[in-house]
Amino acid sequence: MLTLIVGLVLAGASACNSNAQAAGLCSISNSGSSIEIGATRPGEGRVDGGVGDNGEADESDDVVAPPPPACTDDLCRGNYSVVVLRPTLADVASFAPTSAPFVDEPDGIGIVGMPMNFVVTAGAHEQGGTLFELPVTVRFTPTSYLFVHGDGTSRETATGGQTWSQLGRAQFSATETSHAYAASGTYTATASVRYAAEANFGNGWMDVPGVLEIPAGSTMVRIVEVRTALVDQTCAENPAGPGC
Amino acid sequence: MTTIVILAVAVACAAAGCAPSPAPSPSLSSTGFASDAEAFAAAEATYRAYVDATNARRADPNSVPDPTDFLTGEAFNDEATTEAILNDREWRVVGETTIASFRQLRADHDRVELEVCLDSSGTMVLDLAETDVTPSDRMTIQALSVSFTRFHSSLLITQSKTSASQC
Repeated sequence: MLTLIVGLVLAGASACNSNAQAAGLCSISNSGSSIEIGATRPGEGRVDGGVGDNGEADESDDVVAPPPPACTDDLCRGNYSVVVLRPTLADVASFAPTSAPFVDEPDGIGIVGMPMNFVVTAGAHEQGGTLFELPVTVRFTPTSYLFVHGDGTSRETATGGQTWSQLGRAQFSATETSHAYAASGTYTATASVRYAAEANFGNGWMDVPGVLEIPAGSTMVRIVEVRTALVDQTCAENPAGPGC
Repeated sequence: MTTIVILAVAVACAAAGCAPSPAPSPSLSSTGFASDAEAFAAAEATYRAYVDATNARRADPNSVPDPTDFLTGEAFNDEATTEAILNDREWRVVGETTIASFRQLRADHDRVELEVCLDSSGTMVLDLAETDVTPSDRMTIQALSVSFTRFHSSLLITQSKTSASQC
């Protein structure tokens, strides 16, 4: 059976990091601008323009090909099948969901040592389109949420969180996505949603390797310090008292 | 009870903006750092910490900090893709990557760019059977163009791409 392998060819600078370099992956990239097609026959190595293993033109017709196997899937063509390499995150990035809403409560202001609650609302997202000149549906499912608090701490959670009222909890209570700042000041808190992607070309869902991180936005929070003092009358009793 | 009343007053006061304004910060460069030199120094320190974390993670899967703590955006996604490819091939990298050199490219608004020469000669790739499958054609010393973005008082790596420069 002849197998056609369709792949994308790299062009220009490609993504590269420490592990990718060590593993020789830095030249593996694609620009989506060109396609290389090669062909192999199992057990015979690469078919190379009719040139046989001895390097001479192979014009012999006396090799009888085995009968084509019965087709079992949509990609089968009788005497060959087509293998489409999996799309990468870069290929499906244009199908990605837009930024998800990011809210903090209390709105914009918090108290040293008391939890602020951060909430990102994101859900699964499906979008149709064309990829490799084929109709495709791409699905993004949130896998985790990253909250970066701006004070050097961050938290990755499985949930985007809920507001205190949705949770039926009092203000300043701790939640799965809350954070208590240790010092007063102004911080920029940001959140991102990490999505797993799948693509469907009409014959089932296939996983797209990797995780796509989409920023959910940022918010400035001001953290104030609250000092308490014991006085002998309430403000109602003595409106001119300290702190009233 | 009195305590609660005062606390409420203090919060209301702060929320209304009646607390004294913070003192103006000293004038900053376009990167938000005191100088471009400081911005480049911070970028180099961030990259060294990232490579150290990557080397440590190769030896101990539970090492901290997580190398991805230094990444965001495209760089984070690319790291995840590399991880997925290595897992798919059932490969793992052992040994230590070192930084051969830095070259300071650019420091402008909220962005710092360095050229980094990474040396992977101290690493190899093993498969599940612990066989050395290090690709013979890998670039042992590779120039990368690395971008950083300012995040609060530190920097995060946003992009890391191969560079045509010679190391």
